[in-house]
Amino acid sequence: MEKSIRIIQAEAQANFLRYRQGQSRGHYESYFIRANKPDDSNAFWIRYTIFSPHHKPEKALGEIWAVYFDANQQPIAAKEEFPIGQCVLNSSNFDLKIGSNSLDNIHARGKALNLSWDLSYKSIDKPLFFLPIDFYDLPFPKAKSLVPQPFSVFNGSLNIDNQQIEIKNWTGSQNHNWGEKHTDYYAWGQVAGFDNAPDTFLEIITAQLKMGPIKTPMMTMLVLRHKGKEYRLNNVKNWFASKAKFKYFDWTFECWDKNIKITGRIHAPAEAFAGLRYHNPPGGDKYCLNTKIASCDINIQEKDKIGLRESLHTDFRCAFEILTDDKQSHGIEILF
Amino acid sequence: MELKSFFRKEKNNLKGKLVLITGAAQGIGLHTAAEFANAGANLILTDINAEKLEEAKHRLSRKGVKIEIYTVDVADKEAVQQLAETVLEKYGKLDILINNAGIGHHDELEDTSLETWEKLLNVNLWGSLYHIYAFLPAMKEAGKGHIVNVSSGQAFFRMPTWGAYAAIKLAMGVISEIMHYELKRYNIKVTTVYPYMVNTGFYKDVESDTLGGKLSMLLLPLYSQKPETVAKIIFKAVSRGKRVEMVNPLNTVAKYLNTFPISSDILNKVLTFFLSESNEKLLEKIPSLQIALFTIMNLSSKLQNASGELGFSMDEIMQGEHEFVNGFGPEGKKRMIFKVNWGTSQLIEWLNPFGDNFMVNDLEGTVSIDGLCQEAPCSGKLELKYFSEQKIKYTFEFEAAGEDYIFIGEKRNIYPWNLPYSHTCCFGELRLKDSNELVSTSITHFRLDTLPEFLSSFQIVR
Repeated sequence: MEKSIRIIQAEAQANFLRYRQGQSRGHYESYFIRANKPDDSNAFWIRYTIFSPHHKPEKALGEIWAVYFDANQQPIAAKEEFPIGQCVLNSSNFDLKIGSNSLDNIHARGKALNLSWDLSYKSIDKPLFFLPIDFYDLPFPKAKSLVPQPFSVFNGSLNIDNQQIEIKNWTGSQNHNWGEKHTDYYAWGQVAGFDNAPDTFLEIITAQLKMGPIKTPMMTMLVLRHKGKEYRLNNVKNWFASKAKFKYFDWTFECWDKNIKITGRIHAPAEAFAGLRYHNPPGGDKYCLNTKIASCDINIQEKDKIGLRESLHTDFRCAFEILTDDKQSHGIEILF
Repeated sequence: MELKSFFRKEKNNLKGKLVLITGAAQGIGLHTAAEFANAGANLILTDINAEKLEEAKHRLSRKGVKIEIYTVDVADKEAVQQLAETVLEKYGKLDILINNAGIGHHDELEDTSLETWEKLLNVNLWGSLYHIYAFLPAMKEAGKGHIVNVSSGQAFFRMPTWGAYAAIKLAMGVISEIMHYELKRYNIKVTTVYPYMVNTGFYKDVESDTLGGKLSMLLLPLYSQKPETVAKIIFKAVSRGKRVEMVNPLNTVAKYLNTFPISSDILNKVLTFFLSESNEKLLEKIPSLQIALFTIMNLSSKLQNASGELGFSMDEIMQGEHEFVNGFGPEGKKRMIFKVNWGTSQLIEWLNPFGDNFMVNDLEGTVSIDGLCQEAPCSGKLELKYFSEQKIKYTFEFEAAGEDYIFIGEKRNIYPWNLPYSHTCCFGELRLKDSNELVSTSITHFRLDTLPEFLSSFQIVR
């Protein structure tokens, strides 16, 4: 079926900046790239962020984050901030500059403290809209997220303390999220290629929102691209019907609709996590416990293949983040 | 055979065909001749006006095809027969005969003299028949041929004050449509064409005492067609071998309204009321109606006087990304933006749904295409094809680094329910103008937050 103009336009604008310079309403907007080394336990995560506190547009700034993950050592992380005046922001094409750090749809170049990168990348897949498409134009939820370039293949180099790491065909994604406030509490996971299903892409979130004094139940959304099909368990019914629970640092979930049932687990040792402080536009901070080398197991049962269950697994290729107000009890040091 | 291909008419190759057009010195005949010349057909042009015929030949001589002209009165049977003999002796055949010559007449039937009837019949009916009978034997012998008879939309409208003209054109239409089936067995095609309200100057001289008549003449630019538009339609119909070409959608409306007794009666009563002099008295009895009609006439008169001067313009910014193809530039998506001013200075033509320039705007501005040019001046047109193709089409040309480029962008699938998306999203292709080679593809967007700026840029142009 021919794609609707709406979808084509949404795909074409997937990476366009939603932030308008000088806007009074609080805003955060992040572009991040991440990738895993093939057949190994290394990964990188680089995040370009615009942050503008509510009613204080003059205090807007650009942030550059970079973390290198290696299962055999503590994550190496860096962050730098730049006044908004040092950022070049285009709202009608994807070409972002924060200080001397740049990101467009095929290149990422930059430096934060002792970490620098010069990467090129290409995606072989169409953008993945994590929310139902209508929700991107609605005020709710306040935080939006999508994957403009899933299954991106990265090449180039990283440099850590003058030690060069060659990046050759590392697979991951280029992501874009924005909103007027961070989601209150969530666990987020993403796999760009399982060890035994390299063409399968998974994105999942379990989140809890606060509406004044009331907390919503845990809501779960999942999108899976598997064997040429896209399963979108992300409508409002799925949010509440899916079962999920997470703790530090283990997450289990069970999601289904009339065509498919997906159960799974994402977990990682505490040592794999970097603790990062995210400013929240309305005020205060959130703490992001972040790893890109988690394990993930999922079981897939498609209704038209009764009795045939597929088990997908990866040891280190899963991105796993927990965003929380809890600064200490998880035991992860907050670095920035 | 697929249903689609069954209905699709294959285009005839008209290059080298010999085409005879009567009444070819001006108007529809001249423009039709130009269309056939463009297609490489050789022409025999006839007209009663020798001077204008010579001018026509001179005008068309640049097309590089063979053109012969003959001054012939189509109502002169002997002259037509002589023409046929000359042509057939010289070329041995005639591929296409276009019976276009005609004269108009506008009056109530009781005021139409028998002499006028005779003149109309001689030119508009006998003239065509003389040509058909003169060339038919040669076409039958050749086992092929194409006869085109130009009737009139009046055949369907049958408006009061056009009685004699409409009756004869209707007769010609009937003859032609029947002939289509009768001559099929000789592999001779017959196309009947029904132009209506063609702005050739023919109607310019029409004087009317009735309010309806005056009003319809005043509003003529709003619903009439240009002769060049009609010529293109005729050419297309001939090249596709169409049986009937209605030319103007109003003809189809009138045809079907006349099919049913009730609607036919209503149509004719309304037309009679507006066009017949006898109803002037009735109009006088209803002052409010008279005032309304005079107001409309006054306004339309002013509008018409302003035509050629009145127009509007708007500023629009489309911005987004483009991507070079075939190694024409650096890899990846790059910025593209065009800032253009578009509009028209010919509002009447812009509003005429049957004209060539219906909702067609002139466009000029600048275009920036990262990797190719920055702020390059561009000019072209913007076509608002909401009703025919549900699209908006931008076509503009510009020069960059010594090369000429052409950009064609389309906002597609425009329907009321998807306006916020379809009306803001333009799919573009950039090509080298000379070679037509694709250089880059793009998707640009109209940002809704710039809507107030866009709307406030609206300006009346005088």
